[in-house]
Amino acid sequence: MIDFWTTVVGVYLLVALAAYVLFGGADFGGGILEASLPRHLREKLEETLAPIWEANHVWLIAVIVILFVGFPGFYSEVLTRLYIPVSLALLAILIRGTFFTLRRYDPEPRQLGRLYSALFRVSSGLAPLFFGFIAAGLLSQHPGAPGEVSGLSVSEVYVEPWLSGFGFLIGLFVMSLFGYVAAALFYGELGDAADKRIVARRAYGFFLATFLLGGLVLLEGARSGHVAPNKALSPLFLVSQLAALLLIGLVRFAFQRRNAALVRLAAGAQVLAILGGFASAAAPVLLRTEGGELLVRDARAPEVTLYWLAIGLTVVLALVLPLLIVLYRVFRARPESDGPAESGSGDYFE
Amino acid sequence: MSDLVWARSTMALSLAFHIIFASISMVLPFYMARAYAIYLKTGDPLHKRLTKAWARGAAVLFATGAVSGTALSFQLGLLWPGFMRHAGPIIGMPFSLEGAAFFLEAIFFGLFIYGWDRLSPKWHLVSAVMVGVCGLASGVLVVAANGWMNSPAGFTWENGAATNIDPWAAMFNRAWPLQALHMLVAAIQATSFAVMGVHAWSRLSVRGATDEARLHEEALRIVAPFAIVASLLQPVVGDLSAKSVAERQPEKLAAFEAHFKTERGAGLWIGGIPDEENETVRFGVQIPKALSILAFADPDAEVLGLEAFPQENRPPVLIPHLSFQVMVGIGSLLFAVSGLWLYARRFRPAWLLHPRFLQLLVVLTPLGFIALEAGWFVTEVGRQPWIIYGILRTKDAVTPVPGQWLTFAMVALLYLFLGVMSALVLWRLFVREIRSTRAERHEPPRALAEEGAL
Repeated sequence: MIDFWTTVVGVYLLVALAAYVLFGGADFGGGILEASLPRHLREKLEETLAPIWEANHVWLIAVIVILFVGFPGFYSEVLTRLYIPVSLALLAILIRGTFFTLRRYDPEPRQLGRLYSALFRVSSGLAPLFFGFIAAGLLSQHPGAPGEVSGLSVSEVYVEPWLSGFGFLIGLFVMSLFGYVAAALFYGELGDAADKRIVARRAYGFFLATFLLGGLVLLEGARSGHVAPNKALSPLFLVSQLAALLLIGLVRFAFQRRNAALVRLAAGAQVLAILGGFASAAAPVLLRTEGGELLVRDARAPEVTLYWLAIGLTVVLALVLPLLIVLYRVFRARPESDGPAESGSGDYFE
Repeated sequence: MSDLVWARSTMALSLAFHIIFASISMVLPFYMARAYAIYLKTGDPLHKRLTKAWARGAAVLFATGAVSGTALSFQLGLLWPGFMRHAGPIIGMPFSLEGAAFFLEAIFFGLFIYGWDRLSPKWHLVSAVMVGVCGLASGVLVVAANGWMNSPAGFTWENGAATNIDPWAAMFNRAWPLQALHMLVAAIQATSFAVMGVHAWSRLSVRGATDEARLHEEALRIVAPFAIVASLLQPVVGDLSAKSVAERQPEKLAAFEAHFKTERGAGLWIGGIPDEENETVRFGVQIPKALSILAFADPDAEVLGLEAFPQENRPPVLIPHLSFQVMVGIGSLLFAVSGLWLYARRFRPAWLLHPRFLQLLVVLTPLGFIALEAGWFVTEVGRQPWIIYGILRTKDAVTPVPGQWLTFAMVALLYLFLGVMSALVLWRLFVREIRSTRAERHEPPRALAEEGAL
């Protein structure tokens, strides 16, 4: 039985994760999408992301802090067993964040602009790929027991649980999901009809890839024993995935109507449905090992900590959300007055 | 070297890297806000340009600080899972609040940097001030977690686990207030002298009373008060901190003072290389009774030496002692320079922009940061062998993942690369600022445009 405060903190954790997938995901997806866009759209995309990218990535810090304060047993276990893919994901996050900014501010980009772009795009693609391996590691059965890895080989404990075709497929799935989020979000920043068509086409492409890869992930998961068939066939999972699939109809309608807000709303709902479905397939066992399961009740912090964490997060959210809305509103592009040609020429600070 | 030493080195390197960027992005926004406030009041375009120049620099530094800070939140668990398992629930409050402060800082930073023509001047200024306020808050809060490692509170330790957790008692631990103040003042000191050094160098490289010369003079005028006040305050805060350490962690004090024998009227070593095997100090000068005075404000007070502690609980002596000497030496120098500045301001105003004085400032550029890093070496190495003082040993907290040298090598290479690239871009921004002052030319920072043309 999971008590009230654990549930509240757990819900905040999922909210932060969902926000990271939507906003951070749009940011990673931006790096992936960028490579496939014509030049003037790349610039526009960069301008859309620049003012908000740091705020977007704080959601990841929120996820991590909630994990180590609220579920320290899980945090320590996962960062030990998945040391390698987490470190690699981190490396990619560090590189893309830094070079996104350097590309923007280097006053003499002639020399190094291509290097910045290459590093930014490649690491934008690699980070979600490693997220996929991490996800595979979370779903796998691990050797030893919770907190107990002695007497086992390095590859057995630290490599085999995550390095698999299953992980690679999830990685590709996350990449295309992020690309889709980026395209759906970016669509609303555009004024020109031809531009909108280009981005809408990318969005369909990423969506199709996401769904095909999602199916492959499930098949491979069932084949390799990562996803138990009864979980994949649970009503909650099926309903959520079906809802995500059907919502593409709404997205299509929104694209036809050129209703950017509806595109974002529908795409956001799709992503949340997909994510929620997969989360429901993974819960309530946090991590499976041969020596037993790591359950929420073993991994969580004492009640007093969860209580204060829940209160703290509520206060923080009440403070941050209004400001975040102000930030996003202030930087909403003005497509009617601001054509792509014009917006690509200004000094950022003037 | 063992995996433990490699893991400690990785952590030290990551923190040392992050702390430079974090300190600057805590303090620079205040200069930015000050310059902007002057611009709004006087309409002087020079101050607008100064504001923008600092804002560009802050943006690059803030980004690197943000990503290296994100990395640290993972590294705590990657390198020290045994620590986080226990510490997470106890010191979670300051960490969550720090995260919140950082979130707000990032939002206000976005609003300021990109809000020039989108916010009213009043709200734009407010956002600049809030960047600094939130940055300071996050710095102060994260030090609470470190204070707790030095002065654990808010739990009962039973059978290798914490019970009776009180997150607020943990946050308001005894080490926090002074440690936070010491760090805050150090960040202001280090950043201010670094920024003054850069502007002094630039001022030296231009001749005559041009606009550009005036820009750097104005920058010096805005930053100097921060540097002076912080440097005059720091010896007092440092002294109080040492007294607090003497009371809470006597073996740490003994280590950084290289004080081996317990004695009354203990002398203070100036310089010297501690020899841990023979428990002596070579080549140092000892001031009689000074350590007793410094630690307990009493010339005959007894100061515990390292001999009073069992071998397995003694911290290393060499690194804390040398780092402490470096920190105090630089602190004294900056104190003296600040005194000189005050004297000149009162009696010899012409000295302040005299080339000799500017040259002195250029020499001082990195010193504040060297002192700041040295101070962290004193407190972190001086806490060993504990990760939570008296509760949990560092060796029991380290990750079981082997091959930590590889992590160290990767992190070192990455931070070297990121550091060099950031420095290069900052340098270019700076040079461009000078050039555009000369020719009044504005080139938008466009990487993509160039790339598309290739």
